Amino acid sequence: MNSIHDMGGMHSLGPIPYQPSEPVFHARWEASVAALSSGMGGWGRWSADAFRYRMERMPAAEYLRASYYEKWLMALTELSLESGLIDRTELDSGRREPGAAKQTPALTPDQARLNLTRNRDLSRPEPAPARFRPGDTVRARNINPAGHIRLPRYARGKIATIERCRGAREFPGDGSLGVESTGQHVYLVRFSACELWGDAANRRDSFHLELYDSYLEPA
Amino acid sequence: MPRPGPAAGMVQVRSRAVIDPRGVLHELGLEVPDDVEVRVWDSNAEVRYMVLPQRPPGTDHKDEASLAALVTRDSMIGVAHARSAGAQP
Repeated sequence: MNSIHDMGGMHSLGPIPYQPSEPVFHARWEASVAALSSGMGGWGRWSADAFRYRMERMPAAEYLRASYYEKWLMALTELSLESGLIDRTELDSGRREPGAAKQTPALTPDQARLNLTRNRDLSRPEPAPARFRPGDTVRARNINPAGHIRLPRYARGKIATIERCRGAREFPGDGSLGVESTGQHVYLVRFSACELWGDAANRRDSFHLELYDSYLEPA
Repeated sequence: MPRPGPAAGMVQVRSRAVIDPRGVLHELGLEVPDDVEVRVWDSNAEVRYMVLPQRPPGTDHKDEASLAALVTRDSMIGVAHARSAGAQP
């Protein structure tokens, strides 16, 4: 879906507040949210794309007001409820309901530590030979689907060149909607700055994006 | 309700880095000459990139520790050069 997170190209969000140095976490609760997200995510009830998609469904005004870890906390809470890891009474009381289903196996400190550094393998067997080859001219499709999409609006409908084939990966649109993904080819594509932003852009400059097969069409 | 620092800068950077990469770098204190090509990598699939700062001139004989002392946070996020060889940390 098109949401406020896809804000590339907007001018009105203000000057960049430069901070010469900053801590990893700005408050203790942020560290707790990061740890909880990793711990709860370990049960595999949602993918990273489902987590992103949950944040994207925040009302736009709320999204802009919320800090980074406030968005995480909202997504973690909602996904934990939706997937039945916790229920509403437990959320309100902060205690386990005697009758609630217990998740098994229980999360151990060792497993929690592992979850923090473990990356899920997103590569998939190639569903078909790659449609495009380096040097091919393509167009990013003008699509506006439901679910999580990793084709920014600023690139839709624009012409690009295939630079590299990255192999097949899990498709984010599937994972975000809770559908098992068979995988799609991913391509590194290059857009000229002028194609994306018009003639006022610097003619030397270019953009590299990694785009999934279904985001592209021959041009 | 304004919020303090935490990642508040994210929306400003995310919205403008793509439409005005040179302007954003300028605001963060890095001038990119017109004849230097800017390539924007929008890390939008599951591939992530590491910034490797340019080696400052005159550092050929420096050892790892003295090179590391020239590296700053800003040079690792691509908005500044590494310190020059003669600079004090």
